[in-house]
Amino acid sequence: MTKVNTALSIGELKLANPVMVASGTFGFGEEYADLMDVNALGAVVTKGVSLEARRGNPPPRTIETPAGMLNSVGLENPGVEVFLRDKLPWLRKIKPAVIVNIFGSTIEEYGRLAQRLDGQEGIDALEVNISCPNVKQGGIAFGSDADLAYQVSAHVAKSCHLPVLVKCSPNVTDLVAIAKRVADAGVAGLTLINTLRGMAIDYRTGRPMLGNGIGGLSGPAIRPVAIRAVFEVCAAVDLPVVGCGGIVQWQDAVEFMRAGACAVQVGSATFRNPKTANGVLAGMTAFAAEQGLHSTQSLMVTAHAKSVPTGDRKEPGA
Amino acid sequence: MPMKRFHNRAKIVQVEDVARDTVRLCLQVAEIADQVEPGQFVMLGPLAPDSHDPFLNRPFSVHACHDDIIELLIGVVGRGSRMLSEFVPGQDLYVLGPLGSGFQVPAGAKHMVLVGGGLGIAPLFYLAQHCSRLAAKTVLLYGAGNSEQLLSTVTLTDLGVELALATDDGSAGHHGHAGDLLLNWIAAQPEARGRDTYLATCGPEKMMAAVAAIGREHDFQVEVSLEARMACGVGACLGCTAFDVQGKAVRVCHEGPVFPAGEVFGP
Ligand SMILES: Cc1cc2nc3c(=O)[nH]c(=O)nc-3n(C[C@H](O)[C@H](O)[C@H](O)COP(=O)(O)OP(=O)(O)OC[C@H]3O[C@@H](n4cnc5c(N)ncnc54)[C@H](O)[C@@H]3O)c2cc1C
Ligand SMILES: Cc1cc2nc3c(=O)[nH]c(=O)nc-3n(C[C@H](O)[C@H](O)[C@H](O)COP(=O)(O)O)c2cc1C
Ligand code: FES
Repeated sequence: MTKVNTALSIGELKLANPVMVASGTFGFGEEYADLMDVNALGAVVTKGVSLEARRGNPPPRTIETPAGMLNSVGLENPGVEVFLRDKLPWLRKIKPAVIVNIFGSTIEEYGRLAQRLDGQEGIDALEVNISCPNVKQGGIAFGSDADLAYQVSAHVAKSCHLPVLVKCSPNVTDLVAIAKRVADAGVAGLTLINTLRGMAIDYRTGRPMLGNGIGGLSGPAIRPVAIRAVFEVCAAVDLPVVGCGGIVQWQDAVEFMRAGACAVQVGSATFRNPKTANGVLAGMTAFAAEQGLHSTQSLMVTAHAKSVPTGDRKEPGA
Repeated sequence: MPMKRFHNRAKIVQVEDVARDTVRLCLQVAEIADQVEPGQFVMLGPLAPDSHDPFLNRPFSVHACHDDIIELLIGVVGRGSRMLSEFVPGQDLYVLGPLGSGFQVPAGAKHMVLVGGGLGIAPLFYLAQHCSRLAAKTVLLYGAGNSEQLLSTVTLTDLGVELALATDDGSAGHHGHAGDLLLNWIAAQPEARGRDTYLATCGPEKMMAAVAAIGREHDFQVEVSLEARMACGVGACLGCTAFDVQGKAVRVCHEGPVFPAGEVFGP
């Protein structure tokens, strides 16, 4: 069997392999440390961190749905200072790259966070969650407007020396238009996708199942949406894309790379089996070897993706 | 956390109907049996490893533990628990644990009073097993809807602790609630007042609130075991967050499921 090189770079961010764990599904890393091999990950993406601590939403916060789940955690986190004091020291000791996921309610807040995290030993990159409401503009999500998405991305990129990934929301009409604008913001790459807005109602009582009413859908149920998002964006935008959404086994991860992703994130599947991400890397590497490939990056078929007509040239479902 | 938790397949050695819509599931899993403490729980799953449905694992308290076996008491209430009740001995089941922080029995306690309602008996049974090995006097006060929902008295008597039963419909034991049993016990034990008495409760939240209020009145040390919807069970997803009386966020799966009653229901 061929020896397979798993390493890759996303801009300045160097990764030993393309398998990460997704924000909010892996805590700050330590929670899963004895249940899987953290050091076999390409990167750990932290729970979303904000300037101040956030309480999050009222319970219940998770509901099982067909082939997935809804969550309305509401970005509960201890705030950036507690993160730096209590969480970062452990993250410094692990081998994988550490990517801190950040969010705010104004563009300035995102910038201040980026400044605070800049230059901290042990942080390799930032991932910007833009699925949050902008309080200064009537609560519309940064990620749902191309100009806002551009502004917040550019502001974070300017505010620090770290490579920046922008995590896009799929809850938009034209993701490609947004991704194209973000590509001009000086960022290293995109992460696609965050959760899809969803809801479940108790048919007996008529009450929403989540304390917050609406939540975010994740798990295998959303994978086709995520694959489509990666495929369309990769065809239109010349920026590395990290694929995320519904990966439960290595074949799913390779599917994302076929769509054009250079790396992947495993999210809720870790809840089912903490070793999911380890299995994804092992399976993907063995598959590459079996195919006679010298690197896992060779599993990407962006050229192919670009040559295939994208959905907007045909009727949906045609 | 110095312990090393386990997640893998474990062999099912016994599945037994023990009450209406309730099965006891015994798993051979030394890695968990060796270290699990009363009040801790496990997540079972993936229940159908080759399918995405059901997607999430299911939390269950450890009900008893001996040698390399852990026993779980499973109430059949929905799809996952129904699947669990249909497993047969010899099959494998994924189990993750031990999880959470269990009962902290105070070293010097002279009386241990365990008050369980319905399936809340599950963790208290293991706690009773544990307490019966300590010098202190242990009593188990156990209520259920009716006699068919009660665990067999033989099993309970085998625990070697004092036992009192209640049913809502009076079909077995005292006609009333587990809380009544507690009041009766207190009336019969005039010497049991204050911090020397340890009270642990698990069951419907209303029952626990009532039991905690009685315990507070007599200045007992009281602990309660909570339930919450869980996705990860290990403190990573923040799906199970509850807010204590001060408004502080706690993870039921990690800081709990057992909490001092004062943190949940107020001092
Ligand atoms: C720490 C802890 C210990 C528990 N110990 C026991 C025990 O020893 N014996 C026992 O019978 N039950 C116990 N439960 C409750 C048990 O987890 C639920 O009854 C079970 O998850 C129901 O699954 P289901 O698929 O049958 O129901 P469904 O309603 O189909 O489940 C759908 C989803 O909701 C969740 N859910 C439903 N009811 C509950 C509930 N009451 N608490 C938490 N999550 C729920 C499920 O886990 C699943 O994710 C415990 C719960 C917790 C949190
Ligand atoms: C419980 C939970 C919490 C999450 N928290 C965050 C978060 O803080 N920031 C973020 O950008 N994404 C968050 N996500 C989204 C995931 O990172 C991921 O994008 C999404 O779950 C889709 O991947 P999956 O289907 O593999 O889970 C969260 C997801 C879940 C299930
Ligand atoms: S269930 Fe995930 S943090 Fe408790």
